[in-house]
Parts: sequence; C-alpha cells; structure tokens
Amino acid sequence: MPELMDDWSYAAIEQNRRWLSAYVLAACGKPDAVEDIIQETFRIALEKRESFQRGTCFSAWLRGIARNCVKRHFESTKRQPVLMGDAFERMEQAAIEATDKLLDSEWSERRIKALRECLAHLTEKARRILEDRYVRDCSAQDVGVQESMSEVAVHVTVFRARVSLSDCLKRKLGQ
Amino acid sequence: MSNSQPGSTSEDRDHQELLCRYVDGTLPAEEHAALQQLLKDHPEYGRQLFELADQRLALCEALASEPAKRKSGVQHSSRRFSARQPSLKVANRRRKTSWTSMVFIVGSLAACVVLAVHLFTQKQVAPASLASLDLESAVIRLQRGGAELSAAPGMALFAEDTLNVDQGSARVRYADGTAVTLLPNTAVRLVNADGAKRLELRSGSLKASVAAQPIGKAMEFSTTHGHATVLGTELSLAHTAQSVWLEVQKGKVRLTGADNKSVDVPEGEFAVAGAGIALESRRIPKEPQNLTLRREATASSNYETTTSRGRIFAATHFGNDGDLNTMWACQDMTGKRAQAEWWQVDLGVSCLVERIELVSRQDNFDQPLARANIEIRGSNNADGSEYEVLAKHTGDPFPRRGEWISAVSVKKAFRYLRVVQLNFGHSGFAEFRAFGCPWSGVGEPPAMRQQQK
Repeated sequence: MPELMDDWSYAAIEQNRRWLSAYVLAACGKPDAVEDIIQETFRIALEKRESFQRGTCFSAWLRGIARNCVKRHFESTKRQPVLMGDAFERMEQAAIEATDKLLDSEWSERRIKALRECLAHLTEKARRILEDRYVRDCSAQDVGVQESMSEVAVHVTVFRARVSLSDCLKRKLGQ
Repeated sequence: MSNSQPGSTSEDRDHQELLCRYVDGTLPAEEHAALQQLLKDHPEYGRQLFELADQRLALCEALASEPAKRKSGVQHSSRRFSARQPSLKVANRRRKTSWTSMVFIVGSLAACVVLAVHLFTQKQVAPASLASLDLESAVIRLQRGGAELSAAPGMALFAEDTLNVDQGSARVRYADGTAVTLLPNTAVRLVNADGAKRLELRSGSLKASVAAQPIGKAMEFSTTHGHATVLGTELSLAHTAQSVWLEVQKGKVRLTGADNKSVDVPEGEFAVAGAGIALESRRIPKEPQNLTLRREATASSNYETTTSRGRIFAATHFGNDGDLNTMWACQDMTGKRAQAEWWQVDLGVSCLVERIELVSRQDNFDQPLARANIEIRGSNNADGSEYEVLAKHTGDPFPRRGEWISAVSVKKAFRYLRVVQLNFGHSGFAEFRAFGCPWSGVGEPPAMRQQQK
C-alpha cells in the first residue's frame, strides 16, 4: 500500500519538523538556510523511506540525514563549520534529550503561552526590536535605523531580552 | 581562552552573546574562528547552542502569535494540527493492522479494480471532487460545464468549476485543511493538475492558508500576469488589470512573472508581477511610509543648475531626495506659461496614499506663486491620464520655507503622483512626500498602524 506508506511518512516527518529545525539551526548557524536544509532532509527521507528499519529510532535516522544535508550546505557555500567534534556531539545529545518534549504538542503550547507572558514583561521597545528581528527578519542595521540605535546596541538589546526571557521561562516552567 | 563553565559570570555572558549571535546568523565571519576555539575549549557550550536555537524558534512562534496577530496564529496552529491528524490516524491504523482490516483492504482493492474496469469499458470517469464550498453570506455564481448552478453551503467542487463571488466572501476548503477565502468581486477556476492543487485567479483577490503539500505537488495560483507556487503557508493574492500582487503572511512563496522570472517571497513581504514592474520581494510596511523617497521622477520642464543660490541646487530628482537643501523648479523662473507645469513621481507599484506633504524651497529666494494653487493627482498611467485629485491647495500661499500638509481621503491605489501648478505660473519645491503603503487596489486596503510620532 504505497499511498498509506506515504501518508505515514509525511505525518512522521511533519511531526519531527520542529526539533529538527532547532538541530539544523544549531548546526549551521544560518537561520535563512534552515528551511532549505529541512526541505532537502525531508525530500531525501521520503526518497529513502524504504531504507528505514522498523523498530529503530526514527528521529535518529532523520537526524543522520539532516547531518549530511548540513555538511553539504557547508560544502556548497564554502563555509567552515563552527560546531565540530565534542561540541557537536554535546549539541546532538541536547537535541536527543529535547526531542520527546518538542514532540509533545501540549508541552510546546504551554511553553509558547509562558513565553508570551514573559514577552509582556519586556519594554515596548525591546519587544518591537525582537519582532523586527525575528518575525520580520529585518537586519540589525535596519532595526538600528528605525529605532535610532547603533547596530551593536540592537544586538545587545536582543541578547539582553533573550536572557531575560530565558530566566522568566525557567521560572514559569519550573526548570 | 577562559576556563569558566557556563554559568553567570560576565565572561560567560560574553560567551553566551557570541553563541546567541551565531544562531541568529549575525556573528561576523571574522569572529567564527573565535567561536570555533571557544567550542573546542568548552564543548559544553554545544548543548547551549541547541538550547539557544530552540529558544529562537520558540520566540519566533510566540512573537508571531502575539495579541495583534494572535487570532491568525491560533487559527494556523489548529489548522496545522487538524491537517496532521488524519495522517497520524493512518499511521496508528497501520500498526494495528489485523486480519479483518487486511480482508477489508483486499476487498476494497478488488472492488476498485472491478470499478475501474467497468468505468474504463464504459469510457465514463466520474470526476472526483477537489474541494467543498463554504458560503459566508456570499452572493455567488457557480459555473459548471457551461451551466450556472445555485451554490449551496458544503457543496462539492470539481475541476473546471468557476466561482464568481459578487458580494460577501466564500471559502474553498480542501480535504487536507487548505482553505482559500475568496473576497468580493473575485472569480476563480479550479484546476486539477495530477493531484496538485491549482487555482486560476481570473479577477479580484483571495487569501489562502495552505497546509504543507506533498513534495513535487506544490499548490499553485495562476493569473495572466504570473503564478505563485506554495508549499505550505498563508498568503494573499490580488489580481488587477496590470498586475498580480502576492503578500506572504507565513512561510515562503515563489512568484513567477509572465516572463518566467521569479522571486522567492518570504514571510512579511510582498511582490508584484506585471509589465513594467520590478519583480522583487519588498517588506510589508507596518505603518505608513514615505512612498516617494528617491523614486524615479519626471517633470514638464526642469531648471537644471549646478551653481548654487544660497546652497540650493535644482534638478528633477531633487524633488524627492530627502534633502531640503535641494529642489525641483520648472525651467522658466518667471512669467506665465502656456501650460500647467508639473512634477511626477513613479512609486514603482500602486499605493494607497494617506497624506501628502509639500515643502517649499528653504533658501532666501521667495516665490509665493509656487506656494499656492497646487493639485496633487493620482494616476495609474505614466502619462498622468485618468487621474483623480488627491489633494488641492487654493487661496493664499502656504508659508515661506514652510510646508503644505493634506490628508488624502481617496481610498484608491495609484502608482504615479503628480504635483500640478494650476495657475500656469512658476512651480518648484524642496521636497514632495506622500505617506501610505503599497496596495493592489483590489480587496481590502492594507491594515496600517497609526504613524507614531
């Protein structure tokens, strides 16, 4: 029943999109390249779905494909990977540990809700800068022009806001 | 390098900032070596890199569903999960396959084969429905096989069906959760392209929330001016006489023009395909912006000078260069003319203008005639024809070295704005600004925040 297999594959792949995106982002450090690498990972996963052995870990299989896609991304862009060796393994271990949580839609929704509450505690300006950077994908330079700030000040504001959000989130989720 | 462990020291904060900028993609290439060394010395930061990447994505999700956008975000989220669930159910069923389901599957297959043979021999293929129709107080005409049918809520839609929404709005729903909202005065035709979703937008505008599509079967919206290819996203598409407008609310869409040139339009941006329009992805402004700044300008005549009079320089393109020490002036500085002098700016794409500002020359040379009897016209033709008056100044001249500001109440989109001197006298100014935002002119005007002062 190839059609059922396709449905199963698509569902399994879609479920794993979220943690895989974080994994790819950490590995390549290029937010604008993540979507392409994920698409390529899924394309290969679908193409090679017959090679997946039932009973083995699906996320590990997917991670292996993603790892190769990231490697090819570095080769094609002629960039040197920053994350290698032991540090890469630690990152991968963190991804493995976080996978189950990120697959849990209830937990993810609880975290997003908590994050929204934390965002409400930021200053209007910090929130606006985060929105410009992360939602509208504006460069720090453009945000700086809009907010009459230097580019460095934008980076500092973003970092401080993220530290504050991280602390707030830990308190709210009891981590 | 430091021997510190991830903690709360200032050095650790510096390291974390480095990591944060790395996952944000803003770490300069020259600092990559430093980060590489840091990770080599402190591999434990590898874990933090994943956490920061994960946090960044969570933050994007949370910000994208902030109160102003919460409604659409929540809707998208529920749509996404509802779109996934059928597939997951298939997965569960597959694991629990029993002999009864095997019998059912084999039986179904046999029935399908018999049915296919029957249909093939009869040379009649029953068309499969592509989608269903939701009517939201809409006045709608449905054309099928040359006949006009009365549309009913929930009715199945088939390939080649043409829908004309005269009033209200209607929604086309696909089985995978994809929903296309047709706005008033919109006509679409449903197309089946080997299982891929295709919708031909003939006129009007639509909004779509597209579920993730199978690879190789991206959903496509086509128009005479170009087509938009979608993998899984939320978008708005408007078809005008001259162009097709694409706005992407979520995801990424490729817009291809009639000349086969294409552009990828990411979230929060828009692009326009049409003759004489640069196909490029532009940011959707969140508030009215100066639409004229450094756009291409033309004029009835031009007083070109490279010498200064009180540091004022004149040229056509100085009328919208953002510099008040330069200006545009018509050729003859004195006397009456045979025709009204004008200066025109091409906004690049059609725009909804909310306010205009005309700033008079700022040096010591006073020309009261140039500060009175002025008309601002909007047109979609480069020759300024078929214009509408957006603002008009009559009576006494506005102040010397001052500006004339006028709100625009015309709710139409124009690509060309023309400043016309009505008294056939001297014309010139330091700067012409028009605030508003790009708009196709079809469907709802773009939501614009009040300009913050």
